[in-house]
Amino acid sequence: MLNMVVALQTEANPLIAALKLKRSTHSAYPLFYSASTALIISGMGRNQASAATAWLAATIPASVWLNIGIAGHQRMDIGTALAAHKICEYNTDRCWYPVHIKSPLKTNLLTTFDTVQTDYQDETLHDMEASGFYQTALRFSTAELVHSIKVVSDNTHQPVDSLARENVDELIANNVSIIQNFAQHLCEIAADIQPSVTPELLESFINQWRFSITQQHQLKRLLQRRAALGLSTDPDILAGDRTLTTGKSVLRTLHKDTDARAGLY
Amino acid sequence: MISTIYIEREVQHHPRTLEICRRFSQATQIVCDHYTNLFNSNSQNFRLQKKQPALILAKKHDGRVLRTPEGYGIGSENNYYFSHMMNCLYDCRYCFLQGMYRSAHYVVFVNYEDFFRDIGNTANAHIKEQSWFFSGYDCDSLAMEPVTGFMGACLDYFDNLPHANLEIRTKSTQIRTLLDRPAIKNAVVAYSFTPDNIARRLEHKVPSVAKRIAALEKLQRHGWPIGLRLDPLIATDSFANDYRDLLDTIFDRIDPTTLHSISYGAFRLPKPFFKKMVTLYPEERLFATGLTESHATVSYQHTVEQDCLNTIQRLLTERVDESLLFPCS
Repeated sequence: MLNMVVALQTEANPLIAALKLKRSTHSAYPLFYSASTALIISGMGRNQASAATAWLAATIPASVWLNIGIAGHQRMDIGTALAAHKICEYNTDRCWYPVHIKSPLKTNLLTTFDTVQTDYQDETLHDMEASGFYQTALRFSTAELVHSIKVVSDNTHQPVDSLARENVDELIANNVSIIQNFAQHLCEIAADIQPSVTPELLESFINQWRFSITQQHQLKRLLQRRAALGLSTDPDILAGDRTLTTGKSVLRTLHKDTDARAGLY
Repeated sequence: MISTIYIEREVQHHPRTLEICRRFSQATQIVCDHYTNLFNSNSQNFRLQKKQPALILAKKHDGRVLRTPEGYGIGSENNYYFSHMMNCLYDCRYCFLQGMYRSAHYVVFVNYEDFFRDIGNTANAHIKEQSWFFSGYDCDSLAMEPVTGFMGACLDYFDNLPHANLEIRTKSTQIRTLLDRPAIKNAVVAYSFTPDNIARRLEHKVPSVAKRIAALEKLQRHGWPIGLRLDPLIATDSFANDYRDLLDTIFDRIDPTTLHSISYGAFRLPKPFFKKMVTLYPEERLFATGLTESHATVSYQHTVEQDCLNTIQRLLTERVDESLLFPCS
């Protein structure tokens, strides 16, 4: 699952159209979704971004997280899309380091300010959301899969006060395919750490026997072990054994069977 | 190929930093305050990072030379290890580094001279005894040598420190540094092996057993004292045959009479490391086989472990003098 956090509706519009996202009704935030992607409009500022990210994580868990938006830069050409390789929070001096992935997208330092910047500092992108998004999204995923992509919208020659709303839409629209490719690549990376024991498989045991939370963890590891050893993980292997009335007895039986068949490497 | 280099602000202008950055001129350079900001941060996935690790250039401020854990050594009482680098180019599934570190990025400490000074001070504290310094504990000693040049500088130092001994533990075939200089008596090049059929399955990105043996042979011919490290021993149903074949292949090519030492130890891991490794690689068969937890360690069941150790000892004593053998625990 891919979750996107975007500050403004105008930034979101091209993404919503390209990804064919539907609007969710009755949601605390403007939320758009498909089977594989959710996009939330957070509002401006790092606190807004952080709150929306947390709300989205609680509502729709995802492994891949992207913050998309516009940013200023002293010299960079308007319309250039960049991924942040270091995100600094100007007010607190804290920094985070999104783990760089192989991508044609160039990367840059990104600094999050609390107010709109017209005095462009050298070498850094200027935005107002990334730090809030990043530190919150990291609680729900891993640094390799949480990124911020910014499209340069203003610079010293074309400062932010000359920026029109329709330009924002266009800036993002021109980079939608780059953003989609980046997201697709992250989803492929995420597939590498998909659990070998699916929630459905665990459910199929939990529906038949009662397991405490600790026992559910034990069950998951046992099923992982069995999968690694090429042994069946189907709950039907226990069918017919009427002595198995509790989760504990299921674990004991599975343990015994797994240990007996584990062998050496 | 390194595509990202993080550089600690403090070593930004260090000559070695500049030299290494020149080597990877296409890499994105990112300045950070301290390497731990990245390396130790939460929410990282070692497995994902291992696909394309970044390089971190940093300064090691303290803890440069440390006592080895008990049971680690080749005969001396005074055993120390040092790591100019953290993490390894290779990706051995049994390696404890996966369980120990949060990040798979390579950290290179560029202040080599501080390491050498600490090694000298430690060696001088045992001036009347021999002391051993082990390299290759938190990294492979030679795999990054063309980039770091650390071992070349280290050997220059040990050449003038005759009462101290160096073990260069490696699986690498990057041996030019060693072949381009005369061997020194107080440095042992120790190669780690598992049998070929196990190495193919568990030692990813590592030079083949055959290539390692060829490197070992060249080094021995060049006059370097050489060692064999069979740690971890991996228990299989064909353990005796696999290890016999491995030893036959090695001793076909090297001269056992000038072999310095052989150490060996069964597969074992601290419990928290093992737990993390299982989380990273739940589908790995090695972690699903008959292992047991006792005290703070995950290892083979006692009988299996003893069987492995007895078998390897028997196989080795058929080929070399028992005085060369050092079991590790």
